[in-house]
Amino acid sequence: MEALAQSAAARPTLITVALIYLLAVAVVGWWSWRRTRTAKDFFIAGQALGLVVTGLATMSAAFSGFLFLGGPGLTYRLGLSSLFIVFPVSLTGVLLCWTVAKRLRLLSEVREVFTVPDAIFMRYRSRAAAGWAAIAVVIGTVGYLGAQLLALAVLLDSVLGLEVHFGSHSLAVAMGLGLAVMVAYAVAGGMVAGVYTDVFQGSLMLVAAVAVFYYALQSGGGLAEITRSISTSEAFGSAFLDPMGGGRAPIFLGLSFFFVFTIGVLGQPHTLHKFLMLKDPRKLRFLPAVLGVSQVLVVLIWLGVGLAVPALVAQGHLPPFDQPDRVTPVFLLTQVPELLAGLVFAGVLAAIMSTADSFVNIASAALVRDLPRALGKPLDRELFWGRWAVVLIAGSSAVFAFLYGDLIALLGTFAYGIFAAALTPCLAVGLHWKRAGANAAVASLVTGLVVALAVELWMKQTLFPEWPRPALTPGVLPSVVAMACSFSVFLGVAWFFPDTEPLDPDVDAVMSM
Amino acid sequence: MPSHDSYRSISSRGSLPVLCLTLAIPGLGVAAVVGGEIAAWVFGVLSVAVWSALAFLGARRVDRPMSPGLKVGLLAVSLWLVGCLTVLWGLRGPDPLLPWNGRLLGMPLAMAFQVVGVFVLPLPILAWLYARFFTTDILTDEDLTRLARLSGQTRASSADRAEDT
Repeated sequence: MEALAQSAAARPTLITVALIYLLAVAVVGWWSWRRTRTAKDFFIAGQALGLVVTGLATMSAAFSGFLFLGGPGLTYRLGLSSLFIVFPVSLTGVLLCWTVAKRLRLLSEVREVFTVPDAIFMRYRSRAAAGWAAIAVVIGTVGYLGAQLLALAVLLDSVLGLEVHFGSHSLAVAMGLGLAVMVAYAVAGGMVAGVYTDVFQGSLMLVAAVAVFYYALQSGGGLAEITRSISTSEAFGSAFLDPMGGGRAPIFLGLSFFFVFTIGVLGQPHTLHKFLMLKDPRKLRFLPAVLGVSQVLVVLIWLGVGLAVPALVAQGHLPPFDQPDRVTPVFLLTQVPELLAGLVFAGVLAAIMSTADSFVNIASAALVRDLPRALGKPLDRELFWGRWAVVLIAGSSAVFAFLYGDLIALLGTFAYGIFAAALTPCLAVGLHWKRAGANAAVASLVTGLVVALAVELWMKQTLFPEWPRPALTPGVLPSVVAMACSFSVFLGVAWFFPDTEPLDPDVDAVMSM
Repeated sequence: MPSHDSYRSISSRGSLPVLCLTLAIPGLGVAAVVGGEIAAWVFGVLSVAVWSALAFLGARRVDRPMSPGLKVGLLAVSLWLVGCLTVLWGLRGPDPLLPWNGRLLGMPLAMAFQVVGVFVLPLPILAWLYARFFTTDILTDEDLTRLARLSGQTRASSADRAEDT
């Protein structure tokens, strides 16, 4: 790995292409930033985005480091059962547009809705519900941003060859470097910059994904050779190719991924936020196609690199990986032409930055706008406090990512689960079911958040080794338990204690359309 | 534009998916607690049921009139998902490549079917089908005009309340 790191730093073409690309992103960001004049511009890009821009921005925000680095790493460890995460990508776009995006976008047509907690406040007329939603957004963001920071650190470590100079501390150094760059980017930029850079790199991600998929198949000797190498190797074996785990991973793991990522997509604030930016809500009818096609193409990286690298290891062309998150950088450095590797590295770097920027903006809005408003004490200098909030959130995320100490994809799954468990019931069901009131929303928000955090921390804690572990079926994710609990609480409270107050006429109309 | 009564009837029809959710979610939780292979498949099927219930909940206003495309599409997707799970189950075993010995595009047939047939190709096609059939009339000009009118009334009444206080 050390030799690979050295060779990366010594590749001038790779570094040059990456720098040119990042410069182009910076120019797009600067151009967009100059167009930011109002709060509406800052939070929802002036609600002036077209169909393709919204679709690509949503895809870029959803994927980034989680997909490019986390996905192949997870596949290397678990085998094909990891594909259950990306298996439903085109279906989720449709579900998003039907079930949540339409209602959210229409709410923003009749009320001032800049964030997901804003929408929850308008729907339930409850400061408590909006406040708990803001807390869920902040906590989930710390996890998700942590995953982005970890991906950024792995990428910088690999490309800059920091291992040579800093040994086992190289990841910590890369994390510090990444944190500094990310904070500077987020403090200076706004949502408009994030969206337009998302579009630029989203387009590049599509091209790069297809190209990398091609090189992945070629480097492994074609799919037939790839599958033969994997299934006959001692390290992987045929169990690697079994989507149900085959003993390498529990059968419930793939199905848990499927449940959390298919249903939980309805509670992801960074994705939902993008729908508020769409200029014409009637365009929602075409958005599933844009989202589905672009997402399907980009997940080819997960599939291609995730299959090719184990095959290359089985064939003896690459050494086994102690840290599976390094699978993608090492593959790009050794198997892909330098020009393409430079573009992909820079594209991933920029995608991580813009996703992180989106998260930081959403979380800082939750901290300095949604939460104080929920407490009835709005802040006077939101922009000033917002910048400090960025520093606080980014720092907390870096610390959390280190303490979590696991794969990028698993850290991302944890954060995804927090959002899913806390926000999905009150958005996906609550925006349609008038019987559900503020009590159901608050109860499910608190249940989802507390159960997701408690079970995850209980499973991960090492302070009290004598404590028994939670008696979960192997493979069942804590977020599955939390989602089942929060949905049950939401439905139960709404059935037994329905909302008796009539809705405001405009919100009522939105929920009837 | 549908009358108020028809809105109410559509709204009450929304209770059916909610009822499905109410039954499916605890069942899913129980399956996860029980564990074992059969419970895993119950869990998988209930996940699809939850997905379908949420999709119906979101789609209930797209049904004016309830288009055959919507019904067929939702059925197709549910079957497709169940089919995928069945195929994936069929590939299980000590050697997942054994059930078929043929080759397609250079891959063992089972792998080709799984990767290309199940995973890659149907997704854009499905996305297109969804876009074509399902979201027809998702919103009309009348809807937006009505919302604009209501939005204006809300702002006016908020301003009145502000003046009163």
